[in-house]
Amino acid sequence: MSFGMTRKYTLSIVLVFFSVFSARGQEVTGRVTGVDSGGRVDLEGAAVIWEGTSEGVLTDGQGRFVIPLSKTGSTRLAASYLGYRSCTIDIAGYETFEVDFELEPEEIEGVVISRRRSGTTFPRLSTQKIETITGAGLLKMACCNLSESFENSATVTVGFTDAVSGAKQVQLLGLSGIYTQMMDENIPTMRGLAATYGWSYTPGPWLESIQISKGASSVVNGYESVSGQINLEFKKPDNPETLFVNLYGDESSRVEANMTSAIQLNDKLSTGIFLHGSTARKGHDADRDGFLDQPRTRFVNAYNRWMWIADSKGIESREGFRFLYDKREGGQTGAAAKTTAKAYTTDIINRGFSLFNKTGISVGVRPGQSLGIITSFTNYTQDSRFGERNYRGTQNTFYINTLFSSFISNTSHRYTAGASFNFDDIDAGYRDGLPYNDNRGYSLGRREAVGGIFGQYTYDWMERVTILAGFRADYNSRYGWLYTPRINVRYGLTENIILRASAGKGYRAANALTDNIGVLATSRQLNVENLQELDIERAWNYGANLSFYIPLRSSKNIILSFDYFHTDFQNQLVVDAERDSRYIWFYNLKGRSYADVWQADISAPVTRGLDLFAAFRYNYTRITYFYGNYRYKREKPLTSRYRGLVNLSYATRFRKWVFDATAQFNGPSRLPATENYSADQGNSPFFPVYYLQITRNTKRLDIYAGVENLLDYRQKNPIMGIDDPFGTDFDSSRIWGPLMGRKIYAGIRLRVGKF
Amino acid sequence: MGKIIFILAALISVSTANAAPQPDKKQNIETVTYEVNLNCEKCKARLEKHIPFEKGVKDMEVDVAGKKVTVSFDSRKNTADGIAGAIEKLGYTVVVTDRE
Repeated sequence: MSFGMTRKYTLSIVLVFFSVFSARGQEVTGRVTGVDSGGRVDLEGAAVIWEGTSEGVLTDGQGRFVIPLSKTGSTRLAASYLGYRSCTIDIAGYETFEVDFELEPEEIEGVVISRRRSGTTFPRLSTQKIETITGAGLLKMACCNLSESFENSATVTVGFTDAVSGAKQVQLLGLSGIYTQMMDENIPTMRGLAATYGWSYTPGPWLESIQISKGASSVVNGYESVSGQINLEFKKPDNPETLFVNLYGDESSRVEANMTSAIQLNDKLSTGIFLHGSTARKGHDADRDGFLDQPRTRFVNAYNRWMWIADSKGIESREGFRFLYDKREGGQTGAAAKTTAKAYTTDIINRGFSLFNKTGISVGVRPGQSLGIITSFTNYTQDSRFGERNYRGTQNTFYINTLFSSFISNTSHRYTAGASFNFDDIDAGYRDGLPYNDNRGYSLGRREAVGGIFGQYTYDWMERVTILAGFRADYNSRYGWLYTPRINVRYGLTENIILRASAGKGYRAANALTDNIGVLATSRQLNVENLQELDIERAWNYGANLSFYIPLRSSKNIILSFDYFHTDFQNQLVVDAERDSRYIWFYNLKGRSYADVWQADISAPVTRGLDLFAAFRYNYTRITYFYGNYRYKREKPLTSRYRGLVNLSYATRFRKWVFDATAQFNGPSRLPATENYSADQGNSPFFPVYYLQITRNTKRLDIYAGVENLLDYRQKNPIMGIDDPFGTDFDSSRIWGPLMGRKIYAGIRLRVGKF
Repeated sequence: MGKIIFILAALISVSTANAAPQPDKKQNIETVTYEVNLNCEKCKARLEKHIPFEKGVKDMEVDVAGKKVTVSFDSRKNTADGIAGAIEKLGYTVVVTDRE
């Protein structure tokens, strides 16, 4: 395939001279999107031109365009973009002058690609290797919430933080999910206190797609990404699907209802209302140890978003308001509670609301040149009791980010520059009511203001080489100046062999207790005196990826990919639960802490309708504990050494029936020592987990049923000291495997309106 | 183990109940080719999202370049005009060009 440079440059040069704006009523508006193997992307800088004329415009950052009606009377409007097949639409019969183009990638021999979308895709042209969980991928499992959306992911591992709270945690590149920067449509989210339970707070049915990128990322969203970024794309208010309803129930008494709506109020304004309600009134105690492994929950989540687009003025604005309430009651069940003098119970209530605005303005006459302003405010309160221990915290966060995007001489040299400010006000306290612990309580509040400037430059050379280099300088009111360099390089060795490499630095201010909420579900004394002296966590990340796209006769590709990433901490909050069985210590890293991760994956169409995705990942992680004058370098506890994943997905023609089978193979992890660093406790066993789901799709109604953890594999005896939950031996934080047993579930999805 | 077998059997029986072939239906399959003012791949995607789920539709082929849509359907459940109406409802103009 030709890289088509000549055509692109000719069009760009010609089109730059044409005005973008014209009087309303005499113009055609719309959007140009591309459907790559990685999903749908807005195409910035796509040429939209009246066929047979030189009248044309380029699209803006959101792929939108406004073009005056042709002076020559041409009614055929063509859209083109490098690497995609051009598309022409005759608007003669159109009642409204709104035209959306969806361009398909150019393929070898110009063969039309299949419309059937894989659940997980890897875009070929992105600078970073991005694993996109598409809308189809989100439907492969029950996907009640964000954490459950990753069961099919080769990159992300999901587990529980402890055996009583029901809080989920994820791992990326062998590191806790707290080192992954979470983005809500490119606004940082799930920061600070909200990181603890945040993985449960985004319902899967609200999402359009999830993008997972490993390693150093863009600097424009702040310095907090250490191991990678996960961006969540929600359904848009201008989505033609007017109403979507999802109802779900499983055998553990969890029932759930999700609703999304999209209402176009006029040609500029649209709104969407998303609702979620779920409850598990009975809780769940699969291993019958008297402790609920799934607490009784009540959860309400509401989100109202607005989109205002004035194409003629070159302005687009998105606003949103979100509210959540989460109540969890766990611990000993009624019968078990009677066997102990006093019942061990947990009560956790989380509340939060957030507001955001994103406004983009076209600036000047240069196509794609724009100014963006992002503002958000988040209030989050966590009120939790674990037996005789309490943690209460409130976090208020204000964030503003301004970005200016343009190019130097031509669109091969693009840049983004801007400034940001973030203010966190955390008021938190911890109280320990266990009589044998000395430390009764501690205030954990802090205020942190961070102002920064950044610049990022992107160079494209004939789509063979892309270099994304960025630098930011931030002043943190607690930790001083922080400098963040990051670089990503993509090199197309051939059209079908892509090499990517990245390097960069990331920082993160730790929240010792909420980042490690499992420590509250123990009886150990928490030595929190040093928490105010903790330095910011800082780490370098280096990585490379080699991807092979092997074309098949059917016009599809086999995608073979190999990754290596290395994360090396200069400082880290070390949570030391191995020095002594009675204490947990928190301190700054003295020595090395690092994670090496190798991954190989293959995505292949097997026969018509049958797709295979398989991956294998190997983690090599080390952390150094420090006591007295001695350093103890150990494998990071509770981090699986390897993980395999096989997903087979079969869809009949037009996806009327879809069958998904997934197998996870989890390797052993080191169990933390309890008495001293040398008191080896061995390893957890290897265990597989299997998932099955069948979906029957019709035009408006989908019915699905499935089973998770088919063979009912559970970690045996996850709670230590269970006979005396207020005794000194109680510890429910040593979790390496599934707590919930087999789960059978079913649900429906209903679509109303045009789609 | 018994529970697993029960689950698998239930899932398979649900999936095969509707998927089982019914030979007498084949005699009533009608294939009609329509000329439709298709412009690009988006139109194809839109048709594939809707038309296969119309009553009686068994198969469909969309030829964007040739601007042709070929639909096979059970003539006891739908008609050529019914399918044409469903395509028109999506905003396209339709002309029947061939019937089998």
